[in-house]
Amino acid sequence: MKRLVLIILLFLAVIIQTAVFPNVSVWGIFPELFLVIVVSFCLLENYLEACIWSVAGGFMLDLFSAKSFGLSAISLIATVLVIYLISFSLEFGKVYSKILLAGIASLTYYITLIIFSVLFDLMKLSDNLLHINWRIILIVAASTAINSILIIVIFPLIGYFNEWLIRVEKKLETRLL
Amino acid sequence: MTLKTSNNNLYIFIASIVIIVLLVVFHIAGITKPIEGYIKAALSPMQSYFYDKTKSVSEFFGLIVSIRDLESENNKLKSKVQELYVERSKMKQLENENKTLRDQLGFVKENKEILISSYIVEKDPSNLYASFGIDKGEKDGVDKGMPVIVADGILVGQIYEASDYNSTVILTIDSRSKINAEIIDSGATGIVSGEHNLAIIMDLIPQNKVIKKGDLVTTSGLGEKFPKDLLIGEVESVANADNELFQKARIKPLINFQDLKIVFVVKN
Repeated sequence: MKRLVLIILLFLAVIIQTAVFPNVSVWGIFPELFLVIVVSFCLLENYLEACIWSVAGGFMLDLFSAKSFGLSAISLIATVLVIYLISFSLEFGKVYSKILLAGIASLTYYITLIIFSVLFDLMKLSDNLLHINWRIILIVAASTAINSILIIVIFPLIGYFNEWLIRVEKKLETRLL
Repeated sequence: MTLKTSNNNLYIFIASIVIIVLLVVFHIAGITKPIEGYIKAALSPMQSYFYDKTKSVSEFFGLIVSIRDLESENNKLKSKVQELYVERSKMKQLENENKTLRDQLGFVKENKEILISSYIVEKDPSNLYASFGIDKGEKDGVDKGMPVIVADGILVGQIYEASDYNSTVILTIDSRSKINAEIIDSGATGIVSGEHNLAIIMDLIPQNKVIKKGDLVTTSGLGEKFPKDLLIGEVESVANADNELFQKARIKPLINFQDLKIVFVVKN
């Protein structure tokens, strides 16, 4: 049941990211829904869900993109790892700190994407190298801002979902015991 | 955070990285291709539905925003229509002349292109890439490298990847797009390629050819990958340095890639 809901939500998120967001973009720039979901799970300290969404979501994104297969998944997992390391020294209770974290996560995601596009190109795994130019910098800056705003909406929804997941797990545990 | 949960998280990260590496290897080896095809095919109808609905909404809001610009745009279009009338009459004369010459030579067009119409069902989920997905795949005769056009014969891009029922199209502005092209007025040939999903550049144009702003650029048909005379764009600016062997031109696409809904795959 839990995993079925996860698959349905995953597919729904893919549809929103590939078919809805590109049409409601601001000057061609739209939010990265999967990144925001992953950051939300990290804020809830549910790193298992964050990793599941990074791997499964990342591959789904790569499936519908002309970029190298695995780039999104690697970038998302790198983002989770960075947030995990930051979480040892910082608290994310306040709203502004959540927005800040979403911003850091977005930058990490895009920087990893660019670094790995170079690595994949060097390893001859890809022929689509991302060159750093003013357009890429503008997109990263604007997208970071949009993702930081979106976390205010997505985080409470993921919070409810996370509570539901915990309830389901507890029920399963009591049944097994 | 306790040491136990910290260790658990570490194991989760390691497991995730291992899964990613395995999936990338499986993908490169082609093992996961059927599953990928099924996932794409299963999501395609819903993507198509939502893409169409949200496109209509965005077009409606776009129309409201553009109302204030309508008057100036209307005046520009009126003058453009007048120019096109003149051009059309010249074209008509040339067409007749061409037909007469063809009849005299008994020339028969050898390659007839078959067009596969398809709907755009999704766009690249990342802001850093520009591609889109269509609802036709290998089962419909679509194959990697085939040109993709809009109804007016304007080149949009080419097939990057084709699964059974869906395909991914990269645009002419994509760095991986390389097309043999020709400037209509001067007859100058060169290679048109995308510049980081941003612009189209025509390179390797001989220095002795005169190129002007506004000249139309089409496919040259060389290399036989793309049929001849598909419109690519118009010359926006020319970079011509005396110490260079070739000229370089920046090409402006004739269509807004954001507005596309239906495209045609050209099958030779």
